[in-house]
Amino acid sequence: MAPSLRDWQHHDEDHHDDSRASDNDAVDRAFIAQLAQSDTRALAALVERYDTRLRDFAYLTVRDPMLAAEAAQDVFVSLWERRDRLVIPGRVGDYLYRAVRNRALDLVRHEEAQGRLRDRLGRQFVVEVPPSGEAADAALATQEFSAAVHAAIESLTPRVREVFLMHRVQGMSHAEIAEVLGLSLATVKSQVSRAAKDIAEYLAPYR
Amino acid sequence: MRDSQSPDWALLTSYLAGECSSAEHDVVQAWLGADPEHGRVLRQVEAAWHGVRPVTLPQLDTTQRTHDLFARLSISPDRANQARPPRLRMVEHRATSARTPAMRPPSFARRAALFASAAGVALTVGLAAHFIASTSHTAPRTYSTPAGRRATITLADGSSILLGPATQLSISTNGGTDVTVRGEALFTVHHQPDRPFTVHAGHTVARVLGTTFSVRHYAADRAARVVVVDGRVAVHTEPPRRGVRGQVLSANMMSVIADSGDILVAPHIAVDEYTALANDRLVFRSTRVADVITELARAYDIVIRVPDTTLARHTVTAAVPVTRWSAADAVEFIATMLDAHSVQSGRVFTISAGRPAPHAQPKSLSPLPQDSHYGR
Repeated sequence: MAPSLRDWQHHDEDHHDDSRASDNDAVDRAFIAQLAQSDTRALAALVERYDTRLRDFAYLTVRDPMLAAEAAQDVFVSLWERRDRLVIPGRVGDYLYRAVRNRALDLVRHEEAQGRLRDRLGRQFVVEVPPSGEAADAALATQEFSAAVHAAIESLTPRVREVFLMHRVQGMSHAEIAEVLGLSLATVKSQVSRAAKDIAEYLAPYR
Repeated sequence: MRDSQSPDWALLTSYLAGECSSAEHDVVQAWLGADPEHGRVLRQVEAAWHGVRPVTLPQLDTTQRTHDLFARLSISPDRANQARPPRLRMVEHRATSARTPAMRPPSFARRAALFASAAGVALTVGLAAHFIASTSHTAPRTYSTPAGRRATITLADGSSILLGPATQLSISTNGGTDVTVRGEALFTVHHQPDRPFTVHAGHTVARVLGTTFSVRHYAADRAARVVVVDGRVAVHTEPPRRGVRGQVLSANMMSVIADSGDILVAPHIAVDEYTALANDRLVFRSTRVADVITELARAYDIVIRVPDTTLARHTVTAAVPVTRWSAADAVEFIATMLDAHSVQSGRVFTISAGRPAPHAQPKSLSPLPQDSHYGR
């Protein structure tokens, strides 16, 4: 029922391309330097580079597209308002991801306090297990297994699930996750391993 | 693996990420072979690993989002749309030729030079999309770096080009992007199927299929070199030569295109050695001294003389971190590897066989501080 090892190769390559291609910290730093001189084009360039990625990342936390887009824009507002005193010690991308996550958590707290968020929570992720085998019921079996995998991921503890989704959905490296969440690299690796173990245990009845 | 019943999940997740050493790979294979159940366990976890996907969210209109952001920040439309080229900030990639630590350059990140122009090679903007649409035919724009400097160009589509020292580059847009390089440049291109991105170097044409790659062809080079870090690049000669077929390179492949038209392809190369431009390092592997001094002279904007022709025929294997070492350090390092010494006079260094005269002070690449306990 589960797919073969070979089936995944293509998907995996696609999965990591975005984060890798735009990871140009030298260019980001040049934009931040221009921003300090109130160059609006640098702000626009950062929006161009990061808006969608920050929105997508914030969505993992807020699970509402409008709220995620708001979190991303709030980050750019803050960036502009503090442009003359910005100190970014590490990579600019990590800083922006950290900022949008913090903003997303603030928005969730605020919306929950208002009782407005619960009814519009979207799915945090989807699972697509490609069909395997030629049996007539393969599609059905795949559908059932995909649902089980989805439930297995949902069953992870919030922190382990967050690390797992940052790694697998956002395509972030262990080091990037450690930077954004303020964890040690060893902790991130341990939580990724924990996710694998817990998922395997959850799926044991399907073997 | 610890035993047949308890998988080592740290190892299995490394295995899923393709990060296992061959020894670790063997351990996983042994575990998989020990019990068919193990294979089923791994395939299930793999399904979660690779089958989880982001939710598809509505596409953002970046131009509109930028407009909204500027409105929220009360940035006037005039200011938002200004089209003057940003200041050229090029302090930056110059390597020092002095030994004084205080004169050494700041880190690469702080020194990232930023070129841009009003004609589409832009720091911009929400204007970027508009600009591309409105400038389907532009005259080529030319950029150059002197010896000892590098610079970064960011294109309106987000692609970036890192120019090596002593490099000339021209860019024209005409339905796509055409770049001509004389020197060395590292490209990170955002591939758009309807806007071809093509790089010309000597007799070489590299058509980009979405990728990070480097192109090198200095005037003194007898061949152009294309190295692919990510993605794919199609390479052919210009003009096409009879009997010479183009090649498509993928990651970790290098193509050397001789001026004669011959195309050689080397797979499985260590790309780091050929993209040193981005890492602030010059890497030499059994490189002739004559070629080493050419590279150092270009990187530091200095002149290096090796009067001893026997010495010049030696080869060197070394890595030189050009922004962390002064020119004097780098030349001395190479001289030491040749069991030779260097003498500096302004920008001119002379490397001669043998060690320096006894009265000369020995040099240290990392001098101990005055209050060090060592050596007392």
